[in-house]
Amino acid sequence: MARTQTDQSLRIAHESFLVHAGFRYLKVALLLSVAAIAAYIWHDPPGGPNGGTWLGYTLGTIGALQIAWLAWLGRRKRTYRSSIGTVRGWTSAHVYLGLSLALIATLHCAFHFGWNIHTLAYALTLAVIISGIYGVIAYARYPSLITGNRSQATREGWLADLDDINDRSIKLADTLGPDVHRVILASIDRIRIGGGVREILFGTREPERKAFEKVQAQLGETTQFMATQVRPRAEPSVSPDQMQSTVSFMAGRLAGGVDAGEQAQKLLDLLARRRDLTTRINRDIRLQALMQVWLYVHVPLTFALLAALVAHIVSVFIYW
Amino acid sequence: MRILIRTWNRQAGEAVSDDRIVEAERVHIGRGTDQDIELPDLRVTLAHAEIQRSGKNVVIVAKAGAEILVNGTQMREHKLRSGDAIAIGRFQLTVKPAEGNADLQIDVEERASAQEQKKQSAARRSLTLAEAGLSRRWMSWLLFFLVIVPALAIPSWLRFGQGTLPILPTAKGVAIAALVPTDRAWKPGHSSSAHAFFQNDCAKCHRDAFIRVRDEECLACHKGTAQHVDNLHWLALPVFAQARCTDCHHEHKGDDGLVTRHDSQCTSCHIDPQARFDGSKLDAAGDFTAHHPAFTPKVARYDAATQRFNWIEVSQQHPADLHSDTNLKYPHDKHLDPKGIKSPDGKKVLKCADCHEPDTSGVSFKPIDMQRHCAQCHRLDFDQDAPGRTVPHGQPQQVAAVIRDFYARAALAGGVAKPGAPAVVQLRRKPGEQLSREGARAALAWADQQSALVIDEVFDKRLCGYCHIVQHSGDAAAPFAVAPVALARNRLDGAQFSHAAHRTEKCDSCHGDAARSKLSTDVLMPDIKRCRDCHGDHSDTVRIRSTCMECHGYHVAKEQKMGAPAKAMTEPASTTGAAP
Repeated sequence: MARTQTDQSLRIAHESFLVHAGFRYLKVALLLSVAAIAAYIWHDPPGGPNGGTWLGYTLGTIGALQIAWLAWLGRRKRTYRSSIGTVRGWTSAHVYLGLSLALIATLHCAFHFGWNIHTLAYALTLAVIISGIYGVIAYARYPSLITGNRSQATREGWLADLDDINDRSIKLADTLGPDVHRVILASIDRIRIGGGVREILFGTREPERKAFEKVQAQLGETTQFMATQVRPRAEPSVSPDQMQSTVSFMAGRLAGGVDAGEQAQKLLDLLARRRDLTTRINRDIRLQALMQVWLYVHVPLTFALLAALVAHIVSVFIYW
Repeated sequence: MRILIRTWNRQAGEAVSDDRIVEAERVHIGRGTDQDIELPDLRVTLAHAEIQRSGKNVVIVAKAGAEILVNGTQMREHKLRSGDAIAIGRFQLTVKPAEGNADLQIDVEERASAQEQKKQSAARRSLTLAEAGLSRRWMSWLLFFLVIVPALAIPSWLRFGQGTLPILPTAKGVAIAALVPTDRAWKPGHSSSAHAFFQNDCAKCHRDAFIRVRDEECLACHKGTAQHVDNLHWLALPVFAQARCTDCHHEHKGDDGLVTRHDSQCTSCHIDPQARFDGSKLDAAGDFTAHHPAFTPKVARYDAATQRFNWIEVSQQHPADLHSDTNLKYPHDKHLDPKGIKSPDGKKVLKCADCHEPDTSGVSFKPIDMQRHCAQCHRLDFDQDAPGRTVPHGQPQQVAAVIRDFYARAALAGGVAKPGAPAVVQLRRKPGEQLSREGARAALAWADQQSALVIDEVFDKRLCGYCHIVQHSGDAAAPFAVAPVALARNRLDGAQFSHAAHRTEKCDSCHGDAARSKLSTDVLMPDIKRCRDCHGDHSDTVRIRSTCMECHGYHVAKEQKMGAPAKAMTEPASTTGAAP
């Protein structure tokens, strides 16, 4: 019995807000929509349907209440002590009633549009709803991508690793001569984790890739030149995979003996790890940002909508 | 070159300095232990930079590939001045004025420990959008005010506050003023073209905030607009007393909404007029195709005693009553004979339009005119020997005088070849010949006799009586009286039928009965069934969608005006207020 309960609570904990309570709020939203459409079709007011008929005022009142309530989710989800429903229930209702708002608002304005604040309020309503639809898609899509990218690790761990790798690579580079040290220092400076809004959203892989290539070229130039000199003496059946280590080894040998060759190889390995790590961290940052970015549209547009809604309602009754 | 190197260290929270003098041509700076200024930071190269003399100056030169930041700017070479701050790795070198016998003093200080620096670098990275400077709160309030200020605050202030825009009288000033948001932004739709010339002057109609547009604002221009009914009792009912212009006239819907043409506006009362309006005689009208009363054309009833016509409305549902006195003898069938009708010029085929000419209103026709429409055939000559002499139409008193005058002159002039006339009348006079008193008396006696005959014939049979109802008056001067005539007039009071709108139809497609009508009392108006052949209700899909307003008007009261004090009723309540 206890186990069943646990299973159920687990299942509920992982249940999407979309299917919350057996699509309860989808049903409520559909009922509201169907009722609104039926009333709109049945209603045949003098002068054609518009926001000023009794049905127009009714739909407008419903729409305004919906907007106020939908906006209230922003407060409710931060009020942990509230006992009025769960946040998931609120979110579920928020999504479905928010979608139905598009219909209510359209029927309220009865397809009359113009260059005025009334249509501005309508356009902002639709913009908020569209950004919300993106939000639903984002919440469905990005969490699994983020989990996949993290593979059990944490970003804090990665950042600590990165610092560690940087320290170790400088130390290694120091043993490989001032040129290598300089290049490694420069490459560390070029590591970009996060950054501005643009880098966070559209990725920062490019500078890191360039830095890596530059380091590789720097190491490669020395080693490759040397490798070509020593190739005739190397194993004839050397494969491309083995090439790098061979080259490094030979380069290391020629440049500073066996120890230095090992150091160079270690350094290259560290840099490769660093590249992988920065790519993952930046991908994590990017995915997190993409999952959140719609809120930077949705919430400010909601405030713009609230302003337009107030202006719409007040101006309509100022000039009744 | 003597340089005082002052190295600062932190010991138990306090900065402790350690001075030493370096005397060399070049002062080496780097991580290497062989350097003059040793900077133990992995990011500093073994040999990072050098301080050396260059002429009179002392310069710092970075080694190839090494980076130094002088006062925040990356430099390869820099002439040192007092106060310069040079950053290398996590160390800062500050140039101070020389003290004692040194040429230069350089303070070396660790800006942050390795541990601190790691923390700082982690803090410097923005890993989330919020850290990158995006703030939902800030963006939200910015957008909120970006919308509410131009959409509500500025227009309200300009309209209701004391706010006026100082507009520069230049093209630029006007252009800038045009960008300032005003209450025009609140306009919900296009104004009707009738009101377009003050469409941006909202205050013209919207006088006070939060008060609905009042009728006074409309009636300021639309003075004298008629009420719907004249009955004062009905006008006192809420349906009229509380009615507002804007109930039916919707502005800001282009030209479409200006007059509401929705049947429910009318049928809400007219579906059962008696229920709301005590004493109404109107039949119920719920729609056009199924619940509309039969037409009640106005017909004339002649009262011979008073010699006046009474116009009454008779329903087309009562065919027996459906006749209208005209006091004319006019058979439409004879005149519309397709083979033609006899005329002085032979047989002539008449068309409707030969007599019925549309008037300028397009609704009705010009009255039939004897001279224009009848006289060509119905000539008013009374003596076959003098076909040019006619009696005047429409003036029976003058007819007898004209005839008498004609025969008296003829008899006195002589030479009248009428059989049975005395010789004195028949004989031609010689020029200058004077009739004897007896001769003249005999001639005038004949003239009287002849006149009496002709007058009788003209009135009773050949001319007047042919079309009119003529009665002996017993008055010698005007022996006959012609009954007054009532020509057909617009038969519907409560509705307007536009003949012009139906000009593409042939006359007989509605008035086909005319070709068979033998009596002038026939009412040749088609009934509502004929209208319904083409016109349907607002919801009709196969016929012309027609609303009440197609034929009826609202502002149809004869006496009472909208917004004006009520005029005292001249008739009892029950007979006025004949509204469509």
